[in-house]
Amino acid sequence: MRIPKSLTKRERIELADLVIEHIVDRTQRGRDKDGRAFPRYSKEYAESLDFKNAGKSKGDVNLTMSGDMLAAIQVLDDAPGKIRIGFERGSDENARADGNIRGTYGSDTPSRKKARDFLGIKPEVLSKLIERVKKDGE
Amino acid sequence: MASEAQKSLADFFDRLEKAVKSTASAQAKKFVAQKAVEIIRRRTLLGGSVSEFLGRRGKLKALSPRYREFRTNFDLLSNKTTPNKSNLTLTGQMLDSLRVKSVRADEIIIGPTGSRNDSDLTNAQVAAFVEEQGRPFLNLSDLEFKQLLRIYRQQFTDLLKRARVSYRPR
Repeated sequence: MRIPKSLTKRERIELADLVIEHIVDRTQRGRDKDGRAFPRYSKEYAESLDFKNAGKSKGDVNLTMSGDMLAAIQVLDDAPGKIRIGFERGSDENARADGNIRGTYGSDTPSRKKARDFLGIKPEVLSKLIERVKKDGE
Repeated sequence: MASEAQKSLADFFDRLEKAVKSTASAQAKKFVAQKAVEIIRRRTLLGGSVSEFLGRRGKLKALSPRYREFRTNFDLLSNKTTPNKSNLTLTGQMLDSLRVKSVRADEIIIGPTGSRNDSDLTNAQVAAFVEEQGRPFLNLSDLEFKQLLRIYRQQFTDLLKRARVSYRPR
């Protein structure tokens, strides 16, 4: 994502931490990157043993089973004017995130109806976080 | 059979305190240790295994055909498992017994507690046995550490003015 070139390395890392914190928190509240509620879980998934063992409830769509996927979001890269956030290439969590974002869930065909795109941030929220980081640095 | 399985969280709190650059209070340690117990229990029920501190999560070794057959005919099989599922659950007593066992200034211990209603063994002895059989579970993975670090920061630090988190996965 594009950020002001004036941010120092330290400020970029702090901003990236805040963006990750925002994404995890918003996802666990059941909202996608645009603030919309996630599509509901399928009946089959909601009735599975793993779903029950994870202590999940059907109405609480928060992309959290073991918690590993959201914990795996990390800063991939930073440079003046940009930060890149995502998942380690080739990891299980990357595959799981991709399935959620594209709505594939193991199949080859993406489905917009099933997609739960959580990896992003509204421009206005990013602006607020940038302001916060700048203030902290003063 | 090995003596008893339990886990000291000393290394974990060393890492956590370095990451947040402050000392965790006894109350905070107990809270986070309880969350660690919940994470280990949930991951194990889901069939996950972690063999070393900050290691990667893997899958618990599959059950042998003979043991699967025994489980198929076992009347008291927990509703948190199936005859073929490897999640360290037969009756569910061992995982249910996971607790924070002791909290002292320099050491926090978590592990299975109490005895079983179907044998003379303790739950800690059963845990030690399954670990010896190649199904390690009483550990925290790198991503579980990150989950707990986040819980700690949410609960005990001001996120807006927090110390920077220096931890990155290996």
